[in-house]
Amino acid sequence: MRTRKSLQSKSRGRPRKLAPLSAAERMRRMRARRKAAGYREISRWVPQQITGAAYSSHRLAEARSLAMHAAMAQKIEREPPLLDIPRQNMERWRARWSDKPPPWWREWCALLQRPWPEIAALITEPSENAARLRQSSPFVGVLTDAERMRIYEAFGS
Amino acid sequence: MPSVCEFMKRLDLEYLIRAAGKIGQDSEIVVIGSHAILGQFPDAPESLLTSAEAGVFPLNRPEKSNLIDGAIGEGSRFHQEYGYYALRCARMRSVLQRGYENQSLTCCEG
Repeated sequence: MRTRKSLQSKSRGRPRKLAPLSAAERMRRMRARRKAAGYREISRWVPQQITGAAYSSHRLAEARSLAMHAAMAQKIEREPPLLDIPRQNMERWRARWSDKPPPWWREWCALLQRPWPEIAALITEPSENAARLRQSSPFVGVLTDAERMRIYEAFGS
Repeated sequence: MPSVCEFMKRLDLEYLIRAAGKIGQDSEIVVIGSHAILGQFPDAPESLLTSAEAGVFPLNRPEKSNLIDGAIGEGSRFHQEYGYYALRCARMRSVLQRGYENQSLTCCEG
């Protein structure tokens, strides 16, 4: 004889199927659906195929620029009068741009007023802001042609 | 009417392209990056031209990119003289829209 409690539990939930699929059959059907949708079964580690370059030439140029500025900072550290070169460059470029120099010129003008240790730290900093500033650096001419070419060659340029 | 300063920026780019063309022995130099906007908009706002470098590559002589980089690239005498320089861009490494050749503009000739 069924109790009231057992009758209530039978009426709840999903109704039973007449011929339920086995777990293995459900898995087979799920795999077939995924295969039809274009999924591929991968049971081992497959490294992703990189079609393009994993790095950009711009990133390489940034690294080269950082190396050049580190060499420039070292050289100015040894010969402080070389710090006049960026100031002279700024003056020369200022004459070219008449009364309205580009924004980066104005930014560098303010930066060159700082004490040398601060400037050295900035031009050799591996940060995004320092990389942006190095793109328009006035320190060109501190390295000789031979020193510059050595760094270029080291970076495969 | 662009101001003198803005016009000079466009002239700077044209001068750089001519120099790159001579060094690379190529009459077609592709400019990539922010300065490319000067091709279509010579009086582009200065906020878009925040660096002294212009990415270039010779369209028909990609093997000459290194020469351009060495001669008028960062730290070169050209850079020291004019305050701007060419940045070598490898065509194969640049992400370009399909059919970009048809959408590019002729900036200067000769």
